[in-house]
Amino acid sequence: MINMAHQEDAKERFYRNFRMQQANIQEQITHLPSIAPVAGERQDATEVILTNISRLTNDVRDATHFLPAYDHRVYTDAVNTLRKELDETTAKLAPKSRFQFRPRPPAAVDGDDAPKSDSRRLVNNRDGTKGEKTNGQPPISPPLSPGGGGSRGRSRSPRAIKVEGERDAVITLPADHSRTSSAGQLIDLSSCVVNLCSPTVEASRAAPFASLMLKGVEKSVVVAGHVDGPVHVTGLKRCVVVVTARQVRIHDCEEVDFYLWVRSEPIIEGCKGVRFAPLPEGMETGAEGENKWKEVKDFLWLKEGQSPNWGVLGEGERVKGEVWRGAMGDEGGDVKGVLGRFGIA
Amino acid sequence: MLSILRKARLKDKELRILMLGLDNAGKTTIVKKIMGEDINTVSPTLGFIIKTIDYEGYKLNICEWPYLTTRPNNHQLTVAGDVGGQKTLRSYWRNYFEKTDALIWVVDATDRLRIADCREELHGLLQEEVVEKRLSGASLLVFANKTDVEGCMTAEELKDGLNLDEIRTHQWNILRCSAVTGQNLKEGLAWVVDDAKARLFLY
Repeated sequence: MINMAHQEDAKERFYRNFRMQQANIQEQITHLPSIAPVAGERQDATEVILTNISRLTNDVRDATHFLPAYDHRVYTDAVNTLRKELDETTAKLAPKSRFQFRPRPPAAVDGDDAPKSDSRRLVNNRDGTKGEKTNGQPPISPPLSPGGGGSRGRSRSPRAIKVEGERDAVITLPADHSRTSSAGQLIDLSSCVVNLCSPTVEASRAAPFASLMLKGVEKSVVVAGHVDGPVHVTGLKRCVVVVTARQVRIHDCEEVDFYLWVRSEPIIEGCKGVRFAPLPEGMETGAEGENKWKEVKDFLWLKEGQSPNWGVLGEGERVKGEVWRGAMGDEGGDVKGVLGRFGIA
Repeated sequence: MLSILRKARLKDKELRILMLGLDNAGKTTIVKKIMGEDINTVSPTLGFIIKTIDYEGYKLNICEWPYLTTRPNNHQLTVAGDVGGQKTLRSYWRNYFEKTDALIWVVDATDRLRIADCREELHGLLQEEVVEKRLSGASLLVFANKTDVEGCMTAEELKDGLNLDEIRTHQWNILRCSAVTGQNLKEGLAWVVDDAKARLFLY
């Protein structure tokens, strides 16, 4: 299309044109502060300059085919300099940018109207009462570390519920615990019976968690109650989990039975021998809509047909209502016994 | 040729925004909330989703990808229906990135357990050649989602947890938001669009 002679001309013409426009824009930027900001005058002027810069940028871009790479870069840099100058000028004129993202001060943390720590303490629920540490008999439930405890406590809200590193324990929430809009975490538990349903409040009326995360739990029964958001499960082995949630994502689990009420399809990835069932009788949370517990999607099984990694827990194999009632009620203190009745011990 | 296509797109006032992050970060919920759809029926995403919204005269194509690359087994890079084929999500992802104008990284502010994973994914992403090439100069918006949940990480914690200060290739901003309440979603979008406009010379 363009022969060599034309290319020389084009380069020359481009150079002259570019210099002219560059000088022009430069001048406009210099004059910008003298334009009154009223009635959008300065804004308009800024936009004109921006338009000019944009046009110049496009010119440079269109000239790619006849400009040597080095020249092209020089032109591009020149345009960038103009843009930077404009930015600096406008920044000086309007010191406040439209959006300023600053980390919010952790105001909520020192709000001391939060309940004292004992209301957040996990209690041994042997008798279904919210006792203090009952009679010194094992298993003694661990205190719930407010804010994850210890060294980094300051950065955590006291409402985050975290249970970590327990063995052979019964873990329940005190009756008056409000879980509204808090995030729950159960991490590295072994041979535990966890009941996050409030013992005295009707399950259906208990305030839900905002989200729940289970990680590294073994040989345990977890009754997680109602989660008004997603549940994220990683690395569970030989467990029974009961939960009502909006979403359930399950990673890297083996031999875990899930009793679910879930609004979207449960997801499994990297799982073996996981089985699914609807919520046990008597433990319905009154969630409305369609329960999709059966519509499991295995993200690692994209072929047609049933994934070998999961199955439906047959009705005959499901844990019976009275076992649940016993485990969550009177027999709650006997970890070994409960786990035995669930076939986990 | 590419530049012609690109120009045509700019004339149409069209922007492509890529939304990335670990699973469970709330990407789909954010998109649904912005679109005004019901967020109670969000299913986890396999593969990617593209939605178009009109925003102040611009057409925003928001593309949302599942979590990416560095999980131990790169299984998620296989596209559904194409098992055994050569195509992986990753190659699609590369192609898609070529035409991307802005980048939003979504992080679950309640997920302390996986903040390290999240950091690695993010830094891995920014080191991708295609990202460096295509999005050099683009600012990165970090959406700290689920901040309506009590006990979530502060912006400061997230900044440290994600090593944002180590990012040299891009300017970044971190914005607390909630896909459930809708807080700051529009603001974040506005910021991304403004940034892209300034960079791509739309007028």
